[in-house]
Amino acid sequence: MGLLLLSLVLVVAVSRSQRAMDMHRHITFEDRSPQFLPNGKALTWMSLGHRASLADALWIKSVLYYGRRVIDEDNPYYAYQAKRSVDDASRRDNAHITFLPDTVPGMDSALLPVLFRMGGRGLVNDIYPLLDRVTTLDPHFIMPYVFGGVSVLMDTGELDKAESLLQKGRKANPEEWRFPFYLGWLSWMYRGDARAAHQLMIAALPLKGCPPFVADLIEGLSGKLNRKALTIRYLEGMLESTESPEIREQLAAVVAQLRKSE
Amino acid sequence: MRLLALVINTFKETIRNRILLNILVFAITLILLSLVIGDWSLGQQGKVIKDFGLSAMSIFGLLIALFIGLRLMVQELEQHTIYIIASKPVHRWEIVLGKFLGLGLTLAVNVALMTVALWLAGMLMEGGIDLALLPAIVLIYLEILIIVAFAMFYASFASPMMAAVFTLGTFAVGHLSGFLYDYVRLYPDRGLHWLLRGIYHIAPNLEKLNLKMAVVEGLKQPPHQLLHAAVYGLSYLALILLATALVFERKDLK
Amino acid sequence: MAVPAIETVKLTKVYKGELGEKSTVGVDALDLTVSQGGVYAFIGPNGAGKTTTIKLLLRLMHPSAGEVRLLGESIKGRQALAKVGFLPEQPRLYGYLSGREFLDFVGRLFGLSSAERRSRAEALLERVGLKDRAGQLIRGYSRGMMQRLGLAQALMNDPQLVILDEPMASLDPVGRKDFRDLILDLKKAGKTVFFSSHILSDAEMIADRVGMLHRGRLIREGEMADLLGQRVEAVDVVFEIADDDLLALKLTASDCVRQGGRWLSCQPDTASANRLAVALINQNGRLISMTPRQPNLESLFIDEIGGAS
Repeated sequence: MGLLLLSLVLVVAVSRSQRAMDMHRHITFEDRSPQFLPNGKALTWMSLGHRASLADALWIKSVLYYGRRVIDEDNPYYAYQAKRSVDDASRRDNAHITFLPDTVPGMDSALLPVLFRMGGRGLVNDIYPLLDRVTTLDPHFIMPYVFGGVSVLMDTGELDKAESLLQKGRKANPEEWRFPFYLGWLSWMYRGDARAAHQLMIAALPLKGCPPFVADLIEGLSGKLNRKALTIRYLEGMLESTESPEIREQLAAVVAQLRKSE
Repeated sequence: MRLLALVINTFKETIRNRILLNILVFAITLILLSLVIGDWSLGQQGKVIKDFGLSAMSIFGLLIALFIGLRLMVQELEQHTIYIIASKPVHRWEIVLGKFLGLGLTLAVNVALMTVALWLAGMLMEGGIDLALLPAIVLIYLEILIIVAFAMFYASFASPMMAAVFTLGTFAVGHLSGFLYDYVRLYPDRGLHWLLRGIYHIAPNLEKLNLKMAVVEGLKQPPHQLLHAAVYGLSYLALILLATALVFERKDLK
Repeated sequence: MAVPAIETVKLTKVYKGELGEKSTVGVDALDLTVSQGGVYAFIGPNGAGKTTTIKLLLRLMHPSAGEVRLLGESIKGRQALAKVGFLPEQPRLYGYLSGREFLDFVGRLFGLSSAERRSRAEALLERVGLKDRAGQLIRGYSRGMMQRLGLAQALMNDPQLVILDEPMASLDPVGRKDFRDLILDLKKAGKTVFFSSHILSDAEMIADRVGMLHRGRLIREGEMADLLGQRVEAVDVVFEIADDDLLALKLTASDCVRQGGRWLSCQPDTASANRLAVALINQNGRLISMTPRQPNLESLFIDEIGGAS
């Protein structure tokens, strides 16, 4: 009889304390920073032959890390952090951001929400180190390079880091069309360097898998289509060649928005 | 034939060991994982499932190799069931080989079933069976066999605890030997370089048997690379079994 | 002359000492010859080297020196073991097999055909009384059942020489009787049985020949009848006599013990027992019984050990 009572009390204690912890979770829960992870080379050896799986695990961690901080708007902790970071106009704080819209000649204000969302500024400082480890572990895993070189760039503006990641990818995968392509895209969109962009995209064209719309883009670059028109052509090209339904949805929405502002 | 009798006996012993339940764990986990992992990996679930699947196959296999491989020798010696066989007109090397092949057979069944589970998960996600994974799986199996051989080798002269430590150590060194090689090349003047060189050549270079990353990414392997890896693995395996047979031949069964 | 069943020449086993300890001698230049046919008991205290010797005979351990021949063949080749059956001390058998599967496995090791394996296994299971438990996994067997199955496996190859290490040590009295009967059956079938034991009464009951091992050396060997016959044993005399006449028998107080209405006197030998009997009759006493104390192996053994150390 006494044992029964004791077990009942314990069960109640367990469930109550669990619920209490859950209520506080999203306020006090802090993602452990990946800054303590060993570097990529060390991880390669530590994985004892399972480098691809470790890369995948860290990739998932990166995605979740990123998603929780940038996309998860309901999370009060991160909303608070995001607000802080956006309100803070001081250049010193944002010194790590190497792209600022007013430094690019011919930048169309309609494109800003697309290219430079800045929602993630200061929130995802560890994303590039994580992606660096993922790509060192599995250099032929293309998605992390592209994610860091393009998507993350749009949320954080860290152009130098984005470009160096893409260049790392290009070095390890010289046959992959996406690297010279995105590097070209970045050169033009974020640095306004049409000539470099032209050169890079031409390098991408003969590589296996390069979609035909790239030829159109190159033509647009030489013919100096305006920035917005070129962006729309780029996005529509991406829409055609992407399979993932979520990404297609996002791309379609952006295209629609851009068309509206014409 | 005597050897066949020993092989079948060990097969019965290991397969009745309920280790095959691990396959169920493997299969169920794989299928559950494939359901959620799409969202978490931004559409990379095909790659992720294959990577995780191959890694799990390797890890399960190695755990079995370690625990059951050790147990095969240790149990016989500690429980003195060995007296009955060793007093028959059977060569000691037949006992070693019989045990090894028996466990090898069980492991083959294990790996085959896990491969089927992996293909099923792959079919659920991508709608196809990736035959390109086979070379990696074959070499995973070979790696597992090498670890089994080492476990039996150590168990034939060391205490069970030490044998376990040695086997794990061999596994770790086997995967780190490339690192040693790089280190030796980069820093030829640092001390102990002859020792590291020695370790590199003696230890089993298990990384050479590791094609997991390559097959999942569809990287083409030059065909003779595969052949060389297989020859290396099989020769090394034979060496260890030979050494075990020699040690066991001279062993006093107290 | 038939070859001896077992022949060892200067068989020696030295255990190297561990880390600074002296090496110990397990078996010391043993010259053992066991002829075919009959039952040979290999006795000695624990630690005398009986099990070590048996392991050396069966190539379970490697001798430091000396030779072993079984049924004329040197133990160096595996074939010497083809006609030998062995039951180890407290045998542990594979728990994951059934009794029948185990015997089948053993049969395969001997290269028997599947028909032979089946018929022999059934016959042996019947003989050792395990027929109805043969399908059960050995994991569930009792100590006694394992011993019996152990004997069955030792006989699978219809061996000429059967070696048993402490076969009756862990059995109950019924089990021991069964085993003794089995051994005698083997003897009747013309096989040689060599067994070690530290239970001397068992040895006494069935052995024809005895070898005594002490500290790795054979200290005494011979036919059972001879060994025991040589011993001079005392005689117990039980008689009745009137108290007054007791003194006339010239027995000292230490010589006799009162048992109910009778007296028991232990006389050192047959001659003095006879003298007492004669004296009794002269004194109108009544002789009830004269019983020679059974000569036994145990006392012989204790004497030998005492003498050797």
